[in-house]
Amino acid sequence: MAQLETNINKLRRKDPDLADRLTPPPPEAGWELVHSPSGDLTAGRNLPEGFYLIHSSMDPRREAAEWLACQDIPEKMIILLGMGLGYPLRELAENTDWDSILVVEDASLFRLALAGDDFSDLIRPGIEFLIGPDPEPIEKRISRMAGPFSICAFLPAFNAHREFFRRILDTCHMRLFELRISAKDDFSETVKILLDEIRK
Amino acid sequence: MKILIIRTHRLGDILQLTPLLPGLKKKYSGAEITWITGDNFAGILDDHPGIDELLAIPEREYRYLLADRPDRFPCVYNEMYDFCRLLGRRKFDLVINRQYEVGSLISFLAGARAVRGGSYSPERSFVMEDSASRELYQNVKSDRKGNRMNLADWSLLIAGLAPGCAPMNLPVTEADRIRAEELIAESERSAPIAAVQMGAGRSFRQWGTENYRKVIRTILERTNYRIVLLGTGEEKEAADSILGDPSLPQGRIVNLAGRTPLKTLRGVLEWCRVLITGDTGTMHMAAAVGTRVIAIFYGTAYPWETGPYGDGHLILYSRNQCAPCREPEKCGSGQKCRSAIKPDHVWRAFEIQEAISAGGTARSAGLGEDVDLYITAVREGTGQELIPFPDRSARPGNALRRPEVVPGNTVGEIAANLQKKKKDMIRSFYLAHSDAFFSEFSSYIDDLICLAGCLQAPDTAPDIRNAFESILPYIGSATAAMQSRDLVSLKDILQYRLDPFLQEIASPVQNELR
Repeated sequence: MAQLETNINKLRRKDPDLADRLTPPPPEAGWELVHSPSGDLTAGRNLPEGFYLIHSSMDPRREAAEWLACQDIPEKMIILLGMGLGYPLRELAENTDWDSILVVEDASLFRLALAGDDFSDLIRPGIEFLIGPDPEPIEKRISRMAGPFSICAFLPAFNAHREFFRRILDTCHMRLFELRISAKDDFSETVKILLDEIRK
Repeated sequence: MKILIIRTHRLGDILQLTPLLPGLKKKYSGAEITWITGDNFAGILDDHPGIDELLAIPEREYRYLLADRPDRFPCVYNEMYDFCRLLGRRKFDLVINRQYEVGSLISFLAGARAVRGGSYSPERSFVMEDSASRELYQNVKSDRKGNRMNLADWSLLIAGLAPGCAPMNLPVTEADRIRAEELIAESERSAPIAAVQMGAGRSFRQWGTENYRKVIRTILERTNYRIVLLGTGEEKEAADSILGDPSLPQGRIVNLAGRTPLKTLRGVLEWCRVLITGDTGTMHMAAAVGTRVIAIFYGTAYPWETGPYGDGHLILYSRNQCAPCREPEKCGSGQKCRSAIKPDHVWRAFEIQEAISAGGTARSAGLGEDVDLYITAVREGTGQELIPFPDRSARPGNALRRPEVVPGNTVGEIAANLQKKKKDMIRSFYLAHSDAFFSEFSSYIDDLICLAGCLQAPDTAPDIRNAFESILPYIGSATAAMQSRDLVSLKDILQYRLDPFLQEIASPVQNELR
């Protein structure tokens, strides 16, 4: 719990409201930390269908590196949908050229992440944590995005709160679409014509 | 040289482009070929050795979403925007567009240096830069009857290649063959097989179940052939009516309608000695795997354009002043052209095909006034010809050159394919395409079952059999993880438990490929 307190104290200086929200454990947690053979932590929970893992039970860091290698990140503003225990976020922060990262995650999993690892290098300017379960403030924040952004999703975390993340993803698409269409350049206009042709 | 081919739908049209692959590789040494297709046809191209990269777009889903779900428009827009932007980064030297307007727009968005087959620019809208495309367009629009060139040859010409320079081609894997054998072995094994594909996409293209029934009856009564009925799930009922017909010899018909995914279908067709069909995608697939075709053409289907491509196929064509017609639904003659072709004509073609493949000759087609019989022959430089039968040039030398099926390292090939599938699945996982991940996993398990079957063979090395037995519990765990939608555990099992075993048995095949 010492790690959680250290992280929350650091977070409090940046986002006191979020720190307050995380201080009592959020309801419906049920996640447990599990050590992988690589020495890193993963998290899982029991569901009626079986055990559900968030990161590789073998090597979560390697998994995050492979995940990043597959991402298309054309814009330096990035929205990360689901960070799990933080491995994908750390990969993004350390190995991409970014201006800002908006991290969307569910409160219970975010709190578990803060309990499991030192986030002092990730709680910093440019990285903004948008934490559920209420999607509305997150949607409002995304609707204020001023320029095009890249969307990355970490599937196991996304699927763990699928309804919540689908809603946020739709908001991301709507905002990105508005920004692209408003550019009125040949590329964005031609994509519109292309969709008309596909529809025929 | 980076080349992009665009064709997203219609099985037959996709297969008619396969001669491009060896043709382009021969013309441009070291060419890298990318192909964009619809995701429902990806399975037929994803292991084609002539394609370096296959990109699949969910075209059917997009069409539905764009028509019926306006709320999804931003999402589809962004996905296509990102897809085309990624294409742009690949910097294609040449695009061969055989998808008309959609392909033209994608070509523009990809920023290709040269486009053949129709291009687009905001200033000029849709244009055809190359003369072959313009000529084909004019031909189809105004003088279809004057056209004597197969669409496969048109595509070669549009790509800057000589008509007839390369065959239609589709690989058949060991797993396809094993699945085909499992299906076909439902009846007696030793006799040759004639496949019959009764349906076609639209009703006016269907020759009719009763006609096919008569042909099947004659073949069964006069030869030792077995019959395999092919078709989609929608055509199963018609096929069932034939299978259940007590007047037909029992035990010599297998009904595979609705039971052959595209990959299995190519294995089944390769197994068959001949396919009897109308103008269907299955017809083109048979031609692409080297199986002889007896094709029935009338009405809208025009054999010079879309006939089976290759040497030695037979085409029955009902001659008619108004053919090829554009609006068969409004036919004033009660589709006389369709009823002109009788079951006896097909039987006669079958006899001729048998005589030709046995190295003999058939002197007269004897089909009567309204129906012609043609044999196909492909010549480099001029492309496919339809030679009226009988004709001096339609001699046994034109019989189909069927590629020899060389028994390969079955176990190694399946293991190598499984490794490729694993890579695709892990990529789907990281790209958050969970539906794709699960559907790829089903196909992976199918192949794994196939592999398990192969390893039962008595000549399997004991160490490989033991190794396989040691991974069996992980296959069970993978299935359990799939049921609980636990993608991470599933990925871990593939990556850390199954893959090392597959690596071990696939290595000889991979070394050979290198």
